[in-house]
Amino acid sequence: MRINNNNALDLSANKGETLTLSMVDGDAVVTFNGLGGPGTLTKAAPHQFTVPTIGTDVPLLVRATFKGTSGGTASIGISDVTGAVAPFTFHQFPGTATDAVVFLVDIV
Amino acid sequence: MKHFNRLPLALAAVLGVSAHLGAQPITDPAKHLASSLDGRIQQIRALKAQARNRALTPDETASATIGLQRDIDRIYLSLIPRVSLKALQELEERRADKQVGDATGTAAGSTSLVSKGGTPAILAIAVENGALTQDISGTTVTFRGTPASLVKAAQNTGYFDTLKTNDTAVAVLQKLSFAVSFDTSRGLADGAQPVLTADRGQLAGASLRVTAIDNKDPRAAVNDGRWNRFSFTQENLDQAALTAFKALSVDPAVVAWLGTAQQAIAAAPDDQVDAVVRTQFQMLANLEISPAARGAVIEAGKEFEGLLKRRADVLDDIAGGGQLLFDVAYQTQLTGPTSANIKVVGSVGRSILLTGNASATLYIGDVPANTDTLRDVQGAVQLDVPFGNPETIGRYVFTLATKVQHMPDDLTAGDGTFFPNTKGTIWLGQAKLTIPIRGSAAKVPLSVTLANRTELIAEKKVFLRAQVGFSYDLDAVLARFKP
Repeated sequence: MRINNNNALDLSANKGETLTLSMVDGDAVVTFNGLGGPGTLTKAAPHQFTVPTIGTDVPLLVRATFKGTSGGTASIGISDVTGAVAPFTFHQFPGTATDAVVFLVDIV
Repeated sequence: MKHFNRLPLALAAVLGVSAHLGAQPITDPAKHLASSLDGRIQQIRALKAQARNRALTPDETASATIGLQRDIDRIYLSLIPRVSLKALQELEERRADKQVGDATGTAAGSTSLVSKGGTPAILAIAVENGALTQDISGTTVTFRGTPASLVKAAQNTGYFDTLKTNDTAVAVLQKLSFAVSFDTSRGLADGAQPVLTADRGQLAGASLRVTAIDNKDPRAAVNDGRWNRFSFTQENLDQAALTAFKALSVDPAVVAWLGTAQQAIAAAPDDQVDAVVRTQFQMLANLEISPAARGAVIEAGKEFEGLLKRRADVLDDIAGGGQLLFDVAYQTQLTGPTSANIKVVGSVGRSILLTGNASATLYIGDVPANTDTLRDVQGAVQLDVPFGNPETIGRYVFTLATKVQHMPDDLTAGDGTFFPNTKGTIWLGQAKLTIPIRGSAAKVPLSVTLANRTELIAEKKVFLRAQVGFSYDLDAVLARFKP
């Protein structure tokens, strides 16, 4: 897996490569859809998925829904078997309920 | 003469428990979008400034400008005119409020209303005017905070990071909070205006609070089951958002808009980022997108509204939980012996909150001869009834409280002065209205208190006093300065 353009949401990976979406820290409710989803992500239960062998790029949407009115966080990351990690941290903007990002995995 | 100026600490203990009342869950997508855009504008501006001094991390680069991957919720919500126009209007109003309230122009962002839990995460200041059982009125300034968060804040940790912890010891420490009160009328020449010097001479008391049970805290482990069940209802929204992402990423109008928006942000001076981002999102409301993309956007918007409602239901359920805390206060008097007040505070209720206190005050230090250690026992009940729409006029709270204080013996001052016929029972009744100040974290409590007597005047007549207060939650401000 490689991070493109120094942007953690822009990734490229080999066909059939095994990647893992993990929740590293935080107290938000984290869910995901795409690439083996839907599902709920917790610190104890990472989501492992295989990069498809067909297609050009595939999206993985990850959502953090916050429990309070401010101060919610969720640190997540996509890692490969070599230990390379594409990290992303949700910081709750005051007065917001949820936030979502889309990791785009370019299949090479 | 000034005597026994200690009730503000006791009141602070009661009021602190009811602080959850202000936390109304957001259900309007437009309100969410306004806050979300506000947060992103500040984030983009901060990262743009940092990028001039150092290379951004991959995590930061993802947030450094507007993008479909980073802003999918904000973009599809902004493509729904009824949501985006209301959100942008809200954002404009917040900017107007900020200009009125921030005369120095030093604030890093608007000060939207943000409510905290029972104990402020970092620091709160409460300034209370008036008196209940004191013989004269005074002004007490109370500082309250949690040691764990203050230490982290002092280490120059961002506000959001102060609340993050994997350390069990730190998590336990966060259940502790402290308060220090200063009587600003002490140490002044006759006729001088009260001024806070926060020196030892003005120290009116200090307290330590331990939260034993806080089931009203949405982050408490006891509520994990509710959130787990909630997470299984997210599939439709996540699927709809993903479908919207796929449709918008190939829509020519959206692709063109994105290119223009990113160029405009890159070219904007720091002080123009706010206006540029708002202008770009304003354009989305009238953007002509394909029917397929329009359909996906409408569906995602509908599911998003559903998420807000389901989340509000969970929070409403959690709000019915109980709270129990213990408070130990050290109180210094101008003329009386120092004392310690040990209090148990419990509360139950959902939107209407019932809080009860039981406490005992003991003389400590130099107790005059023949004086019993037990100074008084107290019981208090408070009913908080919130009303008003937090998204329009604000969240007001009407409070009714009653308190009984029994003193088994006549009072004696530290210098041996005896106050005859002061033993007996005091009852107090209080009606209070807490008024939020729109666009800020400040609240103004107005109250009227009736009492059958004061501590030092035991004659049978009814006393009526009015109090005006002011409280400010600095957490909301710190979150803005150091996101």
